[in-house]
Amino acid sequence: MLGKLIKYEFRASGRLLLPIYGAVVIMGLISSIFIRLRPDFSFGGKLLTVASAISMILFFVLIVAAIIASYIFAIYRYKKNLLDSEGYLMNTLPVSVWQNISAKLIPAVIYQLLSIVVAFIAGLLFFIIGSNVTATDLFGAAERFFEELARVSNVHLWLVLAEITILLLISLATSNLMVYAALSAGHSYTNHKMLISVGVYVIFYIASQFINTFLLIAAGTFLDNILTGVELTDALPHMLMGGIILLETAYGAIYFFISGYFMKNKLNLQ
Amino acid sequence: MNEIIMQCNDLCKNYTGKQALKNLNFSIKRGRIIGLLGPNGSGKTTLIKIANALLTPSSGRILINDKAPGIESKRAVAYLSDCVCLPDWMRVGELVELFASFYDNFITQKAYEMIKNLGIDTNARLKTLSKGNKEKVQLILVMSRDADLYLLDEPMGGVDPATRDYILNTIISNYRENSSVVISTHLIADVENILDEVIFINNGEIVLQDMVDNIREKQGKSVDLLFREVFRC
Repeated sequence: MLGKLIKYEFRASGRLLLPIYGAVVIMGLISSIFIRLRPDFSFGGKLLTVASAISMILFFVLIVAAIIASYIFAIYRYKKNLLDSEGYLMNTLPVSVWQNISAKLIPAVIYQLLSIVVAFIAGLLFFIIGSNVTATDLFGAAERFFEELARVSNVHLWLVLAEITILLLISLATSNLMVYAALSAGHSYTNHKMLISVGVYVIFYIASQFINTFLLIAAGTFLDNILTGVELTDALPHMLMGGIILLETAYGAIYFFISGYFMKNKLNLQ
Repeated sequence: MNEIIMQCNDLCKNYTGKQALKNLNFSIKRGRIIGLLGPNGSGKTTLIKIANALLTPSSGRILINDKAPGIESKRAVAYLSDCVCLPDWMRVGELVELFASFYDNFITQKAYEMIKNLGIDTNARLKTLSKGNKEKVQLILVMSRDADLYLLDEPMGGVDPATRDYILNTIISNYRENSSVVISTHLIADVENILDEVIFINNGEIVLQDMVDNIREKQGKSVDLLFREVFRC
């Protein structure tokens, strides 16, 4: 059932998001081509310069729009599909609330990740086509940078990349779940549902900032004690990264539980 | 198989400053078409929503097939909401496939047959249909399920008289020995002829629950007339 719900959600979200992502890539190509052509068209230079500037502005606006849209749409889908009119259908399907929430979360995270990947690829294309730098030059430079980094700092590149990827995924999921939990709690009330949802979100935010600050101070004091006179080990950054991933996962689990609790026990579709 | 399909025990629902359901105690047996009748704001929709786990009761409980509303009851109950709640960007055919993929007891052939009878285009997106046709599609999807209990909230609210007849025929033809149909409405004259039993609800309380034949025999009145007397303003 979860697979069917996810498939349905991918279609529902993709209808709006995929054309925006496509537009980002196309605009990136157009603006890079304008930049590339400009030196060859001295007779139409002014017009081409204006067109090039407009296309570049549009390109960057679209990148920002695509990333923002993936977040806004995740919130919109959760609210409309589970807590508003479409909730009458979704909440009477023979599926658990956990499946319903997961089916909103998984596509949302994938689309948000995709928006970042699309922005990166479009930026890369823009840079490669618009400048005299070839893809080989660019990747060669990147490779040399990472080789140098590995040589100087003894950093395990793949481990760092894996950690960053996991942290990105978990952070995306947690940030969505925080909104889901606030919306689910707020919509359990009869009146002022959105106002209460925003209030709950602010409370979650302040509480998590408070806990983070406390944990940061505690970790600092702890490390201070054990590291006195000891050289900074290679493992320390990975330990810190692991700690942050664990903390983010814990927040995500709490928000997931809160969302499910309200959807299961306090649903109030009116 | 238990003869009772739905049961309410001391069921209460409070909204801010209002008691929507007051200590409801009643049961619904299998094999009947029941009219849940009451004026606007009497608690009909609230009761049906609680049975579908869309609202949580303030106290008391409701049981469907001896179980609290949950995944099991959602398999057994076919619910028609009082508003069009389907994703309007989907095509009619896609909605049929959606229902077929989630409900084991959904009969796809029956759905397409009814859609064809009512002249609705399966390729049309829901948002392009008229309000009446949207309601028809929703009803077709609900009535194409081989469910134990049909909870229909105002099934004829926005449709023309000819379609009302079609809907009523659909309900009768889908009626099985072991299933029950609860029709919440205030259009009593339209449904009276197909009802086996009525439940009158007013201000969140059950005012009367009786078989239609009993009402006619004992009181010598139609349900419509009795309703007008009971709920006279």
